[in-house]
Order: sequence, then C-alpha cells, then structure tokens
Amino acid sequence: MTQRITIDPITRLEGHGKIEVFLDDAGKVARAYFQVPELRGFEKFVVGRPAEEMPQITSRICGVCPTAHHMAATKALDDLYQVEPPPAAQKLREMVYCIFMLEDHALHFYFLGGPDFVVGPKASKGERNILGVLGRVGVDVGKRVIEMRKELRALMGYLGGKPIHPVFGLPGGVAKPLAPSDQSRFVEVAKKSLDFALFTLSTFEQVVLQNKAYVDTITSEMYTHRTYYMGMVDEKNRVNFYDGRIRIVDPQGREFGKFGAREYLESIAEHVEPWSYMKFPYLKKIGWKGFADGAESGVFSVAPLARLNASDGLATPRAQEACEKLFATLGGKPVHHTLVFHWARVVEMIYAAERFLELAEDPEIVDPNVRTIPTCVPKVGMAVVEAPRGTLFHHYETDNAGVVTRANLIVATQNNAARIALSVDKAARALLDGSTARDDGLLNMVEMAFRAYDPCLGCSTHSLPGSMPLKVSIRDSRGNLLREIRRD
Amino acid sequence: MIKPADRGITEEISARGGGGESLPVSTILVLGLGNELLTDDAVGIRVAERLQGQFQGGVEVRTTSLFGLSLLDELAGREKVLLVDSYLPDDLAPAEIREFDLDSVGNVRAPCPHFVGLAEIREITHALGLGFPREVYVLAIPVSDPLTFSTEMSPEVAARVDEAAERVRGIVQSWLSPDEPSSPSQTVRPL
Repeated sequence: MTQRITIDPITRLEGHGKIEVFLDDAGKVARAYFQVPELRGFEKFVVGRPAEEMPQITSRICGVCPTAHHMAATKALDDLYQVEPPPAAQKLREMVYCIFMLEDHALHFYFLGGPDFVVGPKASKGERNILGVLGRVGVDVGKRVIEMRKELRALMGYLGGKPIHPVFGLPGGVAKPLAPSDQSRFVEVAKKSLDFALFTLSTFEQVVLQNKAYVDTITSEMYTHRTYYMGMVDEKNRVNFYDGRIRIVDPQGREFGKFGAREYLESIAEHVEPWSYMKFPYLKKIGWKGFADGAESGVFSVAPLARLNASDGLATPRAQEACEKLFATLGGKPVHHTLVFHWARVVEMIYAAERFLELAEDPEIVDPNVRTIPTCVPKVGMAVVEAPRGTLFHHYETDNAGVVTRANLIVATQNNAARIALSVDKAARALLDGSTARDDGLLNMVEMAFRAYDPCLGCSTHSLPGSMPLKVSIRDSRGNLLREIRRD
Repeated sequence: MIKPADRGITEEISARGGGGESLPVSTILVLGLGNELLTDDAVGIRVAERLQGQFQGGVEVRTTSLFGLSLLDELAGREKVLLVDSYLPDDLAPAEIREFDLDSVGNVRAPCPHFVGLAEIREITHALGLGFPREVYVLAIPVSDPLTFSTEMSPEVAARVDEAAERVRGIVQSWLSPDEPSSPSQTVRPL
C-alpha cells in the first residue's frame, strides 16, 4: 500500500510550495516532492514590449529581490545594445548591488533564518520565531538591525530612485550620478555597515559555533549533499555579485567549467518533472540522472555556500579571513552541509560591506559621466548576476527596433530547485522513517531543509493572513485521510 | 513615485523608506497590496487607485507590491491602516469580499523566510518599542488567477472594484466620524 503525506500551505497566495511524501508498503519514505506554484506566462507577457522596459517589469516580478532582477535586466540591455557603461556607472551599479545584498542577507540572518540558529532547531515552537531571536540577541541588537536596514534602504532610494523597484539602470549606464557632496554619507554608512557585518559574524560564532549541538546538527548527514556548485567569479576566481564569469566546481572542489553569460545555454539545461511546474536546471555535460548527488549527477547548487565553494576566495580582507575560518572549521573546501548556507551568508555580508566601502571611497565614483548612449542595432542580450538566493540569468531577443521577441529567465531559487528537492527528500526520510519525530519537530526539521537556501517561491505579494500555516496530510493509497498535522 | 534626479540626499534620506521613524504622515492609511503584473493580483492596487483624491486631509491612499517586514515602512507612524488585498477562496467558502481586524488573525509564525506577517510585524515593533498602528483592518477581495502575467484582471474581479472601493469609503468614514462606531459594521470573518 502506498501512503501519501502532503505538507501544504492551507492558504494560497503566498506562492509557497507544498511537500508531498509518498510512503512504500513498509511505511518507509519512497519519495518526497517539493512543489511550487509557478508564475505563468512571463515570456508571452513581455513579447512585443520595448526591451528598455525589462529592468522595470522584471523588478516587479518579485517583491523580495527586485534589485537583482533590475540589475540582471539592465546588464542584459548593455549586451543587447553592445554598449559599455562608463567606469563610474559600473561602480555605482556594483555599489547599489552590494548595499542590496547586505540588507537582504542581514534580514535573512536575523529575522528569517535566525530562529533555526540563534534560537536553535530544538527550541520550542513558541520560541522559534523572530521574537525568540530578539530574546536571545537582545532588543538593542534588534533595533540596530532595523536602523541599519533603514539607512541602507535610504541610500538605495537615493541612487535607485526608490528603495524598491529601482529606476536606476539604463542600457549603457545609470540614470543618476553620485553628487560629490553626498559621497561622505555613503562612506559613513558603509563603515557602519562593516561594523555591523563583523558584529553579526561575532554573534554567529558565539551563539552557534560555540554550541556543540548546533555544530552537530549543521554537519549531520541529514543535511548533507555532495553536489556540484556554481557561482560568479572575477578574473582571479574570487566571488563577485555583480559581474564576472560563472564557475562550476565538482563535488571534490575541482574546477569543472567556466562560462560567460552568453554561453549559459551550453552549460545548463532544464529538466521537467510531471509533478512540478518548476523546471530543474542541471549541468548539460553531466546530464540529468534524477534527484541524486555525487559527481555522476548533474544536480548543482547556487547561493552563498555554493559561491564560496565555487570560488578561490573573496577579494576583501575581513571576508577572506572569515571564509578561511569557515572552511578550516568544517574540514576544507568544498563544504556540503546545507545548513552552512547560513554561515556563508554572514561571510558574504562582510564582503558586501567591505566592497561597499571600497566603492564609496573610490574618487571615480562621483564622476558625472555615467552613461554611454547606445548606437548599435539590438538583437540578443544575455546577462547574469548573483542574487542573494543564487545565480540569476536574463536573456532577451528583439527585433531591430528593440521590441522583445523572446525572453528567458532562470531565477536563483530555480537553480537550487533540484538540490532543495534532495534536501526535503532526505530530511523527510530521516524523520518519517524513524517514526520518532513529534509533529512539530517533523514540520520544523523538514522546513529547515529548505529554509537554509532562503528560497523565493513564486513571487506573489500577499501578507494575508500573514504567514504560511502548514498542513501535513497522510493518506492511504485510496486517498483516505489517515492523519493530519496542522500548524496554524 | 519616482523622485526627481536632482533631489539632495538629505531630503532623500529623511523621506519615508525606513522602519520606525517618526514622520509627519497621515494618521489614516489606505494601502492597496498586490502585483499589477499578475492578473487578479492587481485588484488591491486598482481599488486604491480608484480612491485616490477622494479623501480629505488626514487620510492617505497608497499602493505597494511589498510584503513581509517591508510593510514596516508603510505602517510606521500611522494610527489606523486599512489594507486592501486579494485572496484565493477555497472550494467551500463563498467568494465574497471579506473584512477582518488584524486581531482576529492571531499570531501565526512564519516558517518560511519571506512571509513574516502583519501579526508578527506588530509583535516585533512592540518588542523593539517601535510604533504600530492602533488599528489594522483588512478588506480582502476574492480572485481566481493571481499567478499569470497580465495587466488585465479577470472580468469578474474587475467588476468588484467599485464595490470594494465603496466599502473602503465606508470604513474610512467610520474612522473619521467620531459619532460613528469606531469599527466597521461588516461581519468580521478571518480568512
């Protein structure tokens, strides 16, 4: 008899996934599936629209990471019109992007991923939330996070036109230079943000690394997959969020490939499963071998830990120091433990802050020349950035007037989809096969499996009723409900 | 609204955009939520647009596509907030416009990163000593397709914009008129 267990949001618009677990005759997990409601019709929607609208349209796909879409689309327009932005424009774009990454990562660490680490995976349900985090780190730290976020968003608003849905990037440059009189304000906030990022690392080390139980959980086999890793690097193979080439390393950490945005279709293919709207990207040269890890499987991973694994380090000193400590603590590169994404996110916060400061202090960043006017006839534009949640590809084709005839986006969470499916499957097996997990523990441990990736599922905008209650339904082979677990 | 390019940073930084700041803002906010590009998901925004310019001072009508903690920026400094949003009805519930108070939602915990809800935001602001509106009321409009890219709403959803706007007017009027009941008369029914 096959049993079916569904972990399903009982509300809908949040765009969340649900988890379905199928048991075999012996009551063991045969397979767990992670399903998401996919937004539909983007390619059709943008066909016939001017390519110049793409940075604004794509930034509205998602209320979580609009700056990533905006920047990827802007860079794709550079490629489409074969135009090179002036140095000041490139630096301004990268600085805005670093501010965005810093703010996004900070939010995740303190308010979103924090319950798993700062409070602890085995804390009671009542504590495992943002208030539990504030209880551990203190109200003053909470205020500091809110204040830092406010200052960073104000700077993004200044350069981007508004903190969210920026109107900043143009083909060949940006819409607004940085006034010399305002540069000192950016430097000041950058210094504060670096202090803040280093403080965050210190908090992580105190709360997490000095707690053996946490470290045991982090390194447990349940949260470990030996996959390929992908991330953008500069000419010295160091992490870069804004520009560079995509590097892939194998499960042993050896370079497997490297490609530019224009070659992404030669390196990545997408697998379709009948049970999911989401396509699962995989390494074309390896092929799709199912949901499996190891060197023989084309499954790969993106986002903070993947970026550190796929690089030879970071270009700024404090971040590099933190990165070296991460790998030294966990036995060297690559690290395959999913929960280390949280730690890697903090390392990237430091890099983002240091790079923000470097750029803010750069005399060239106030150069008023921030635009190269495009003159080429457009045809094809492709670009890639590293979003907080991983590698993001934008690809547009147009007619001679710059009207879009074809578009393709591979978004960050999609690039992680196969590994997320692996994580959910493995956690479900470990928990359900053991038959010892309490209902709440089951939900949280399975949720932890995908929460570490900071997934962005669907991109809806709703706040009602305010959260994602979960429901686990266990059914027999005829669909009869055997058991139901609810969290609401 | 896009800010003028020549605006100075001091003014920019002091503008709305951070959480917890004290600003001279309207005490009552009508906030349309949604995504204009996702078919019926636009309905909250369309209702808010219908109401632009229809209230006197002290009432501001805005729209946003943000959610989660980002709503802090919109709520800070307000006394009363009316959110206009959409919902996807289940098969059993009649597809009617619903109203409810945030108090009726309960303190649901977000198990996934990006869906920290209003109840949690309220708890966070209280814990941090930040301001939160004295009253948050929600008007939710049933929709059928919030996942397909289109700037056109379904006809049946578009047809309810006027009704929803009228109910918003009634709620705001009850807030503005001291002699009227302080909360709306419609039955509170949580989603």
